[in-house]
Amino acid sequence: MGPGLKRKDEMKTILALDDEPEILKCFKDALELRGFTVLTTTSQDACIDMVRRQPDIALLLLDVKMPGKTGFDVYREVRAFAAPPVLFITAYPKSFTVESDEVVTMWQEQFADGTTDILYKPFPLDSLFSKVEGLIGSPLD
Amino acid sequence: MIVHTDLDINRAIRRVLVKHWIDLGRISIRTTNGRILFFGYLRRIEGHRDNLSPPALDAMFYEISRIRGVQHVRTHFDNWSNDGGRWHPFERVDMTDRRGGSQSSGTGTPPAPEPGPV
Repeated sequence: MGPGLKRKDEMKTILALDDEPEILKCFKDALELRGFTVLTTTSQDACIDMVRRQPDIALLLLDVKMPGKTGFDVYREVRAFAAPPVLFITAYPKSFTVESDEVVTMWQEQFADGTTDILYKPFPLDSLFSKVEGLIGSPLD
Repeated sequence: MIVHTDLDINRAIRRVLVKHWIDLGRISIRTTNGRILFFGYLRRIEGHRDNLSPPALDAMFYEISRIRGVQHVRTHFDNWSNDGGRWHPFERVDMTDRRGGSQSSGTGTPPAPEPGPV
């Protein structure tokens, strides 16, 4: 293996949570083609557990609206013990509103550290790559 | 020597944007060796009572320009232009809305052509 090359297990790992498996497959296919290692889950609790057990997760992709715990719930639970960069991906821009005390609190207490970003659906793949790499850099940094 | 990487700069920019309640989902930032390009739709998050104004943008971009490592800032927004240091609001057709996304009112479009939508 050449000096500039890294093994697959050295590439940055992204964990994606969404209740729709088809969406997760899109993320996985696109981001793995880009060179990232991508783990996926449709379970909020499994997502939290994976972050707890795998400290090398470089980025968390979180859907916002899901049955059961929302992406905001998962975000708060994860942030209680770890602080990976987070990219929220949602089709509902109105999820982020100052009319929600929950959002205002998160905005002021967690978003303020600069490690959280948002991407609204639909989006071109280039926007996904731009947001991801704006948070964690390229797959091989 | 402290090295200010593009990732450090991005993080510092997001801190400023969050402080000013900017909707992060509608804008994109590209940083290359300290040179920053902003594009997309610049507005505060839903329900914020204060609309953005030229003085507010002056203050925000002054903060951004003062971030360590920032060499140059260029903007290409869909709703604000900066001509000779003065901010002017304008409206460009929002392509996200034209695609029929009633829940999604704009992510902004970058100046270069892009691959197909997800």
